Formats: sequence, C-alpha cells, structure tokens
Amino acid sequence: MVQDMLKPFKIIKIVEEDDGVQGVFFEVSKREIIGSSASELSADLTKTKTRVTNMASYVGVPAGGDIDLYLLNYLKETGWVL
Amino acid sequence: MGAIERMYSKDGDLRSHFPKGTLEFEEKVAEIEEQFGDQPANDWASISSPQWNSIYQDDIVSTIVNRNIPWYLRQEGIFAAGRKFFLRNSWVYDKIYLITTQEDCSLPRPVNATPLAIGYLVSVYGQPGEDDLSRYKCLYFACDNHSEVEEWAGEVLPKGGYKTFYAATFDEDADFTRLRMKSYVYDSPGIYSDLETQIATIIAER
Repeated sequence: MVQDMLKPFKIIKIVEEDDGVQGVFFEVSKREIIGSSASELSADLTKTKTRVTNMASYVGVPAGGDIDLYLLNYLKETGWVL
Repeated sequence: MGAIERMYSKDGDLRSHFPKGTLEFEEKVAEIEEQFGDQPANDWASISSPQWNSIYQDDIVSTIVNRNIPWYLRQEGIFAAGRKFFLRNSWVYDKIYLITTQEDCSLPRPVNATPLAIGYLVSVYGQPGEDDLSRYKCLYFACDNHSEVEEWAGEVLPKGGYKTFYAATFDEDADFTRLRMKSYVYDSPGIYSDLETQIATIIAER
C-alpha cells in the first residue's frame, strides 16, 4: 500500500497563466541550529537555539509538467530541501 | 570518542551510534551520501553502523535529529526524528518519535515499564520508498527491573553499565504482534542516555 507522503513544501495556490504555465504559490521553511559544534550544544535539548527562515514564493511550472516534482527539484537546487 | 549508544536485537548485529564531530560520523555520512546523495547531515546528532532488520529484510543505517526536526515532520508530541537508509533496497524513510505516557500508551509492555516514546516510519515525497511502513510501531520504554523485561520479551537482553532502555516493535495490522525486541545500552552518560529525564522535562513544560 502506498502511504500518503509528507511533502517538504506547502502549495498554497495554483493558477493557470495565459500561456498555459501553471503558476504555483508555495511556502517552505528552513530551521538552522545556532552554534553547531558539539561543544556549543547543551545536552539539554530544550535549550537548543534555532533560527527559522520562511519563504513564500511563486514558481512557474511549464504546461503539463508535474508540479510537485518540478517544485521539489527547484527547492533542492536552491538549497531549501535536502 | 567511540559509540555513544549500542543497540542489540537478536536478528541483527550490534548497532553503534556515533555522534556528530567524530571521525566515525564523518566516514559514515560520506558512505551514505555516496549511495543516496547529499543529506542534511549538519542536523544529525548521530549516525549508526548498519544493522540487519528482519521486518524490512534490509540492512539499515539510522540517524537521529533531536534538536532541529524538519518542519514537515513536526506535530504534537514529537520528540525526535531520524532518517533511515535501507542499504539493499536503496529506500529512505524518515522516522518520527512521539512522546507517550503511562496514561495514553496502549501498546503492550512489561507491567513496571515506563513508556517514553512511540516511533514509526513515514514516507516523504522525493525520497525513494513508497510503501506504507507506518503499521510498524516501536514502543521505547524504561524499566528498572531488567529481569522483568527479559521475562516479558522471552529472551536474554544486554544491560548497560550506566543505563538501559528498551524497545519493542509491533505490527499494528496484525493485532499488535510483537516482531522485534531491542535493547539500548549505555555504559556512561551521553546525549541519549537520559532519555526519560529529557522527556519528563518536555512533558513538564507543556
């Protein structure tokens, strides 16, 4: 059985542009630990400091293209998803 | 620094976890990235040696993220997450660990066990491996009485010099049949050795 997959991005809205391009409005988030070396990190997990960066943006997916796949590749190329 | 955790299960070899910042960590990350491509290893607290898992019929390498859980895995009660690499099938699944308590845990366990977390695999879009493996639930628990756990498990289990935690994997779709027993052994304090204290802190701050 195939599971409902989690997606590392959130599609907010899809609009069809005049030229057939699928306009995709999406959100993605990235959270980084502040102080990454082992000596800088407390053993107490609750004291971990992180910095969150959110991005809401738009990408045009060619007509007939796979929106999820296109967006995933775009976010991988730009370092938002690993 | 050597392994910070040793995990035993009778169907596989010893699994050792190596913390970030060690040579072993760097070597194992490099091996994983050679097979699976770039990974968010900067967020991993540790990575393990491979271990055969009879449920999935594969050698699996585990990583743990307990400080910087990806946003798309976050949900109520999440304590940690991990990424599992299935070396033979070349699958990648994420695993989430949700805090559980004596009151809300319905999975079988020894009478005097303290349930700590329930873990299961989730499939993430863009990662290879599409089968739903979420039916397999791992219950992580503590128990001061090692003999009681051995009796419940029906097998001899290793014990750590400092501390020992346990886990049992159940098949949710087969009337919660217990499929696998695991022992997590610590000979000295480390980042995973006081799991029950960390979870109690989180529960207290809710």
